[in-house]
Amino acid sequence: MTPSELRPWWKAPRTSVITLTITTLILRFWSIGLLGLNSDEAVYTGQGASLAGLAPFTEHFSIFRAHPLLFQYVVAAVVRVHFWDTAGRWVAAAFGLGTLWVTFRLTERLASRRSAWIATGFLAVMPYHVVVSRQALLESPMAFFMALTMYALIRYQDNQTFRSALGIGAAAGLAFLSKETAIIVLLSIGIFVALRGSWKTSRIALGLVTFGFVISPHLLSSLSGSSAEGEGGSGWANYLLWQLSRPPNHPASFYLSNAFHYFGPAMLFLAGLGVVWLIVKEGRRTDRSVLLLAWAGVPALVFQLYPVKGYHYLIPVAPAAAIFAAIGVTALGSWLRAAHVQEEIAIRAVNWSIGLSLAGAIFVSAINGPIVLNYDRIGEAGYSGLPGVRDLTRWISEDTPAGSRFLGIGPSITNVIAFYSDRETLALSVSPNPLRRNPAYEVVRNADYDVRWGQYEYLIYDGYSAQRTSHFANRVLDLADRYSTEVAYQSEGTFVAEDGEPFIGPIFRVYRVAPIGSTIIDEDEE
Amino acid sequence: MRALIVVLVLVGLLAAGPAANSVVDPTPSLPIEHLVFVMQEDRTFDNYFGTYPGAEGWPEGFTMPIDPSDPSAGTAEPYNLDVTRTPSLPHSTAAMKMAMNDGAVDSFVAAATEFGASDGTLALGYYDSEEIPLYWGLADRYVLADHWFSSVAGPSFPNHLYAYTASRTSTDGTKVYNSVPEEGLEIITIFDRLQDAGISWKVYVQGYDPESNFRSAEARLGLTDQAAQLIWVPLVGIPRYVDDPQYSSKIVDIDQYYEDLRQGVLPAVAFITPSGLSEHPPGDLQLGHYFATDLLEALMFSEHWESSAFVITWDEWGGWADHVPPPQVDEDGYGVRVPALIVSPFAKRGFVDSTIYDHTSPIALINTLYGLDPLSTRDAAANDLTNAFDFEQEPRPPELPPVEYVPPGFEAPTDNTRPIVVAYSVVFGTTLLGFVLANIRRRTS
Repeated sequence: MTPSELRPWWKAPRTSVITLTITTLILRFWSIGLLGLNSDEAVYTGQGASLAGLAPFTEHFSIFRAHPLLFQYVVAAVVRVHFWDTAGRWVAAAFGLGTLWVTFRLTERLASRRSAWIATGFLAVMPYHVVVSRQALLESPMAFFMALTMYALIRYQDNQTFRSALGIGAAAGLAFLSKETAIIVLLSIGIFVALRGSWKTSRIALGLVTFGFVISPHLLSSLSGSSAEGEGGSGWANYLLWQLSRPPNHPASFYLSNAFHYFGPAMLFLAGLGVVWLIVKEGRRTDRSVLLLAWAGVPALVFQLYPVKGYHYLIPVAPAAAIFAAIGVTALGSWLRAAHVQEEIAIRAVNWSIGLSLAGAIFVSAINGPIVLNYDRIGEAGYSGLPGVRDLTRWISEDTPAGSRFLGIGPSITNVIAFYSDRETLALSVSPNPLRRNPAYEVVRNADYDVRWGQYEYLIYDGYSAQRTSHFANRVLDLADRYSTEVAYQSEGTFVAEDGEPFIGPIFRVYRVAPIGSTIIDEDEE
Repeated sequence: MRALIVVLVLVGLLAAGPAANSVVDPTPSLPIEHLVFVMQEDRTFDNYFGTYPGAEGWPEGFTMPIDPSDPSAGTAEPYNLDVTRTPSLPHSTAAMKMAMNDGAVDSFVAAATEFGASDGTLALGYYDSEEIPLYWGLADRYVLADHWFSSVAGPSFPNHLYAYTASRTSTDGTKVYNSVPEEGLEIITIFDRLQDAGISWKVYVQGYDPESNFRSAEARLGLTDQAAQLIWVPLVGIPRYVDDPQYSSKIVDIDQYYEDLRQGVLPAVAFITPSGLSEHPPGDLQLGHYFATDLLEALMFSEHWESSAFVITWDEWGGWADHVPPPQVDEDGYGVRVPALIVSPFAKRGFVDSTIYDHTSPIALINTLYGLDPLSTRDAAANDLTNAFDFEQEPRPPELPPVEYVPPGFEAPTDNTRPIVVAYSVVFGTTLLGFVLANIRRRTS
């Protein structure tokens, strides 16, 4: 298909467009602010508010942390006009919509308009993309700009223009500015150029210079962060050191075991068919085969090898997976015809495969994303937000004196309380080893002494951190047992823990530290 | 004639007994429904707040002669103590007399040396926000009194006695010195006044031991763990406060303070006395300072905060130097200047109150609140702390100072976001513009 044969997307059947649009919007925006922010969301939205100069976020959320600031920059532009806690989620969802558009245009070029609609439909309802793009995380813009990079790459392959070379560098740079791990897009580009390109050196140089120009703000902020580094050692180099030396947090099978959850079984089957089709039928002989396999394969391989696993790390693969699935639909039809299956049955099989993929994906997306009618089906703890966190932080804001200090299990809760309640919270699980801790977090060196002598007014136990680290959860309970006489706040609930089992119990429990000199402590000493 | 006799007898009875008040309204005249008074041990103003900005601390370039009688011995200057535990300096009445040097207040080093300190210049040691961050933080947020004097130029016991009775003269006219007599004290206290007026009160004692009273020989000899109770809680030296349940039941352990706060039944007047966490050297003053501020925190967390005042002071000098000569108001005092903090939702913010106060000032405030008659000429003449308050202001919400001191007006350095915002704007804007222009050009071509 040549560019001149492409029809504008709006000339697709009206019913399909309307249905797809409504479904997409519902899945991405319905109840998007139902749950309070989780830890990462609080950090990125807090940084956005810091960039906008909003107090008290400027005190709690330094902009000089591990990642670049493009997402936070966009959030800043929004919250400068009007602040609300889930502004970042709307920004992320908007980038998610943008990814759908790029996926459509790209698939239109790589396959056909029909495949473009199918791929876009798959991505629109894909549980993984829905869930991630509903969160105020860096991955949604990163996935958008990586997809845009691929689009610019295939355009350059078509027209070899100066403009397209600039576009590749700019899009790749913006992907990097969203999150530095997007640097791997250069590897994908390199593989494509090596296998399919007949590129002029000047064009490559132009792309690289553009890339360098676009990522320059991050270099600037890294240098500023390093020069602003205090005794806490929160400079960029320390972040890099910490990132590179983090121990594994999930088993190697983490991504594979989540694949059904990411895509739904039918879509996963079709995507697999598409991959097989491309490898077997096209190999390195076509642009689209090399482009798609490099686009999806590099992040999949790199993040599989990287010891630290994250639920949302593989989101750049999602658009490619949707395109694979769309190609898989074509492959299914071709193979059925090749097998001399009756035409009518073949068509029905293809249509059913599409329908099942969409229906299954919508179902999984719906129960993980927008249609959370209660708190017992939110998937892995905290990834869609933290149930009960708004009630907790409202209580903290209204019923604890300004200046109260909290001691919790893990740093997740510290970010959330800082974001919502403007209270200082330290976490027991922050390692005293600088190589094993995020430099943004403060170490509690002698919790027993500090609690004993009233340096914390409250101990806070949260179910999300507790199911990650029972050791420090027990430590908080032990301190509460020794130094507290009353539970000041408690909320019960249910959520699905990381092991897939339901967690039933206290989501948050806040203990008031007993006063110094009261006999509970003296008895304990004896 | 009979009627006149009856009236005279009644007047005589009223004048003679503890209940010297006429009709008392148990409703306070000011919005302070709960007064909590804490007395810690052995610090001078210069020892704790000598370098506090805006207060009358160490004068610029201050030095003190090592030995005023021997100019060749040289001088010593105040220095910051970076340890929170020190030996206890000599602080007897004789040592104080020498230190005061007839009003010259220039012999603290000499007195410490004379009475046995291995290093007399320790008397010039002082602390600041590093060692007592919470006290300094409270001073920033509430009221620091920089002219509060110990009531007696003497040791702990008479100073505590003044805080309870505004005198150290028994009802039979004898003077009480540094100890409780074997038969106990007969003296009118502020709690007699409150009891008679039907105003609630309690005395909370850390680690309270009811057996450590004037009848306990071991306590009198300082042989029990709670021997200090006899000195720091003068009520246990008064027979009726030991024997009569309507009095003795109101002297309770510190746990009851927290329980009363929790239940919302804090009395109108509460005196609190520490035990091991008194800041008395050689104990760790930092732990005492945590303890004392924790008492305040408990009040802040309670429903009583909005109608309360929390006053903390230190009983006497403890051998530490202070450069301000105390006014001589009578034969007992004043003694050396001590620090005091006044915390309340009505307290002026960050106010250094230079009104002259002494340990009878809380009694004077109680008299003002409830229209009680003075116990002595001391509380009758004492300033009643009302200068520390602004009752026109809305009750302030509780505000805990940070455990690491932050000076007032200090703004934590925040990131300089401007260059970052500009850089992102340039790149993002340029790139966006490029995409738009390229798209337009492609469409038009």
